[in-house]
Amino acid sequence: MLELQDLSVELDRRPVLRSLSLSVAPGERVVIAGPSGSGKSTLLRAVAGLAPVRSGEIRLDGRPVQALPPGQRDVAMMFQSYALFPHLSVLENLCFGLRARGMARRDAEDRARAAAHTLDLTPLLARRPRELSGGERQRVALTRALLREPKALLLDEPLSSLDTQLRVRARAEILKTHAGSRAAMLLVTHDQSEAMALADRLGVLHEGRLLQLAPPRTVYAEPANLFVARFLGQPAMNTLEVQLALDGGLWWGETLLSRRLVSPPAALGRRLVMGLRPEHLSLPGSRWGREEGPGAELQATVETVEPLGEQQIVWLNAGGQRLAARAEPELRVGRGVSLPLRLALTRACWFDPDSGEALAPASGAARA
Amino acid sequence: MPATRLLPAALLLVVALAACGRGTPDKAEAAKSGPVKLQVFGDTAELKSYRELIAGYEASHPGQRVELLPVGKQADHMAKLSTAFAAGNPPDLFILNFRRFGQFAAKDVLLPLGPAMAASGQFKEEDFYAPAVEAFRYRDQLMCLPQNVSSLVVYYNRALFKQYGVPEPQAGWSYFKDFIPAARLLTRDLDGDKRKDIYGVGLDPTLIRLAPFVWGMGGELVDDLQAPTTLTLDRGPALLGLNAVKLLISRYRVTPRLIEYQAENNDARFARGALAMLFQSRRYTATLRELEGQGKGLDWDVAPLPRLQQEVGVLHSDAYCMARASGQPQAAQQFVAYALSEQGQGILARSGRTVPSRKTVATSPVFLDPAQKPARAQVFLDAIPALRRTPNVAVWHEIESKADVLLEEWFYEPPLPGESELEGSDTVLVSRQIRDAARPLLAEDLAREQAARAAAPAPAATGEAH
Amino acid sequence: MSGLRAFLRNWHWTLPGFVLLLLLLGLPALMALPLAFSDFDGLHPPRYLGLGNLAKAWNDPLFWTALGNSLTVAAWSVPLRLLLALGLALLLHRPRRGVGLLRSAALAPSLTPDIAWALLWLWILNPLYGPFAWLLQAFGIAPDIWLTDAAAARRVLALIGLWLLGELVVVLIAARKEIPQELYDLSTVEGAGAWTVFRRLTLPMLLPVLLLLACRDAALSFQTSFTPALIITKGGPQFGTLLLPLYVYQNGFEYLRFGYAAALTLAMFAVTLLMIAVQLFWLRRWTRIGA
Repeated sequence: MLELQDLSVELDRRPVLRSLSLSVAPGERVVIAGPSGSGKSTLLRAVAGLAPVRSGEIRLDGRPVQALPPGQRDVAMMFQSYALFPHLSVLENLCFGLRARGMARRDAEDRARAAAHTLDLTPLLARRPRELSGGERQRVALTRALLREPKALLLDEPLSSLDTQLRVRARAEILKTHAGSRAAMLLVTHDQSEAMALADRLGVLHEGRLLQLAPPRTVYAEPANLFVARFLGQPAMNTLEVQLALDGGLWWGETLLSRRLVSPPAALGRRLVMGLRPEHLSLPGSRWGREEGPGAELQATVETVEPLGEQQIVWLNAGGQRLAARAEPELRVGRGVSLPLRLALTRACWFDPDSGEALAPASGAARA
Repeated sequence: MPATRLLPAALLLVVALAACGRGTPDKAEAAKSGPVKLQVFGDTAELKSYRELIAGYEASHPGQRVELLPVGKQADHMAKLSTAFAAGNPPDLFILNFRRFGQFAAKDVLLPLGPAMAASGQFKEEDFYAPAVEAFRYRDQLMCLPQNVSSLVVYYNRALFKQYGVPEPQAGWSYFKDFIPAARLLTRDLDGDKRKDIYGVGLDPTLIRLAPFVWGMGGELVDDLQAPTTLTLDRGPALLGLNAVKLLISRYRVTPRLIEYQAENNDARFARGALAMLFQSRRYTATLRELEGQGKGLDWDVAPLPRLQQEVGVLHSDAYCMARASGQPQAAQQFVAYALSEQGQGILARSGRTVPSRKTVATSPVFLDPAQKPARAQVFLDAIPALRRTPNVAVWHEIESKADVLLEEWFYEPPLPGESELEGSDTVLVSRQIRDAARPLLAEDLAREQAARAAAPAPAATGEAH
Repeated sequence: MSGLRAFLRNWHWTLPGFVLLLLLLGLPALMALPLAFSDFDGLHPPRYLGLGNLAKAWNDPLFWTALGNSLTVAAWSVPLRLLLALGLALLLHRPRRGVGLLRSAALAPSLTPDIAWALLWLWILNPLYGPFAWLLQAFGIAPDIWLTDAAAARRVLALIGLWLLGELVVVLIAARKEIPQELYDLSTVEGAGAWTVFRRLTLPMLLPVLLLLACRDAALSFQTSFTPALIITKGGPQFGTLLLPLYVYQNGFEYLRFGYAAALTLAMFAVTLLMIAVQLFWLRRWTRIGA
């Protein structure tokens, strides 16, 4: 069990992490995603003891560790570059931590061989890191990190140095390898698909603050604020500044989107930001995004079409606003065509235009 | 970056230049009409007097010009000279010490100045002191013309003699009866720290300094001065001479120990007033006069070498030599004639550094100036008749430098416990070591000599006249 | 092999240095070669001797003394210098206040003309007035030991040579900076102590560079020890610091035996090559075991 409470970290007198709290249960995978510069790596380094903590507490199984040197914290870390020792064989790399802690060579090697056998690394044991593929390196590094059976496992961008092709497989490897471990896993990444795929719970970090920490589906469907909403999803969530009329009508500029919104997310007469994922905009003739219940129609012009194989992203322009919609690949969409776009209002997320915070759970809207 | 890194490069440069520069001298003679080049070595005071000499020459010989190529140390002078020769571009004139003279004389690169200038009436041998002239004769030819005729004398600090009531050295004083007792009286520990603050004698333990002691006991340095085949330091009288010197440190302890010698050389120690007597040549007078100019002068004078069994001195002499490859022999000889004239010799004599080789200048007030120290300058002249010299074989310098290493070790080596009974056994050892080190060098030299003679049966003296 | 390929692709960058090297060192060295087989005094045209000079060197006890002295001095100074340079590099590689000054200080002796520091050492070593004498006395050693004891004199030469470690420090600092920080972070997290980190990470990662530097340094120490041997110990006592380059210098420029000096240089060159070959052999082995 890894617990962080009100953790603040400064680097060069600049706050990098602000009062951050989270906990990771044994065997649980918590992924922290955030753009670069958000403090992700610093978070891991602080937990590992490589960056000094300004205030707050780090507990491992209830024991405060922030005063301990890194080697005594019982955490393992896997670095972005994997940090394999180029002059040591895979076997020696695996043994490094155990040997550094004074385990006899024979015992350490036995343990490394056993782990390697389980994870199909046995043929690689005699090789040196430069003779390994990127994926193999990642597996060796991960195996090494877990070999000591640490209480917490910290992964810093574990997939970023791999080819796109390899990443999907490597994700599976991480899941498989960690599956047998009781270590609380804390992983940071800037890659949202990686984050979604690996996380039991997903946190979004922005400027040193943890904006939301919840299961990935929840974070995707019910972002806690506009930043999270825009950070997750490819393409990002469409956001429209709308006005809730006194009569319950929903206006986007001069366009009436809905005569009467069932269970309005805010007081009537307010300005709102409405967020809709591209899959909730439906093109005429498309089977995707067709929702039962109330919807809205918006006249939009097709600007560009990105066929991605399993889907296509259609970029549209409605009254000067760019919108993205998802459609099945078979749908024929002509550029420059003006068409009625259907918005699944029940799936919409609502945000305060000033603070950017979510106004009501989108599920409330869905219930309506 | 270290000079050595370029050592191979320098070596090869020599060859390259030799290849390019070895043009025919006749052609060069016609083409060349720059100043006569004179390469000398010496400290700033000496170089200054050479400049004065050149200025005097140019003033009295309108249209003639001499360019001075000054070098600080003799070793550098020799290195520069040898590379210049190798490059085929030697200076027209240069100064050679007689102990280095053989190196060049044997190579047949010098134009014999004696015959050439005697023929033109610019040089009369009898005007000059014979020991100096003889030193520069090689295979019966007078190759270079002596500029000075210095010798080893005893410089003594008169103030110390007076302070401790020691009688001043007299002509004909004896090494054992006068010199050593004086040295013992003058060796003093002033502050009672068991370390001597004043020593009686300073003597660099080198072959050239020890030679007069070897001769003084009737010994010899080599078996044949003209064609030496071996050193003879290991023969009876020579050993006695060496032992007499060693007594200074081993029995009487009147000379600085190695550590003190290394920390401060004898010249500096004497100049500081912490050495009562110093064996040195005339050149040291210039140093002492310079100190006087700085207000650090001593009350000093010179005395003849103390006598062992025979009265004897060791020659120190430098000469003007001329490269056979010189492009302007006439102009060069004209300068030499001036430098050796009463006027030229006078200019150099005034620096105090030299004992003029021309008799009339040496006996004139220019040298024996009573207003200048040393008061007893006559000592240098009185020593001349008894001067002896080292052989002028080409390898002599190399023999000396090898012997000096061994001699220094021998002199400063403390006697082993219980060795006093065998006093002198180390002297036998060192003299044999020196003999053995010198033998192959002398043999090589002899072989080369014979090869040269075989190759050129006629004396190589043709063609120096014009 | 990839290194070779990279060199073949980028060789033209070495051109200016290579041309200078060829012109100033290679060409003269090549021209010195025939000299080694001749009798040449600089005054007469060279006379072909065949292997005469080399035979003479073989029978010249001073040549063997000089060779032995040079090797002894190198055997002392190269490892010591490398060790000291490594220590300094590890101390100075991190950017810290004043570290630039310290780095410059480490490099300064290498940039000072040989003769300048040799004269400085002459003063430091003065057996009566120099600070070194005081130090020796504090340890109960005779302050003039380097003037009387040949082995001590060689050690003093090696000691003086230690100060020429600036270039080594610079290279080692660069090499140390090349080691990824993440490896150190990992070691820290894995609980490795300072000594383990040095022994298991820093040292093996620097080993190829260290060995390469040792090769270069061994060859160089034959040459850099020349000035102190000439100025400070003057080859003595008892020929104890008569080093090979000094003997070459004496023969060439004092005794006018240019041919013999060239032959000795050739021998020196051969010994240097041999030393480098031996070290490269170890370098290969170590790097195969190491990185």
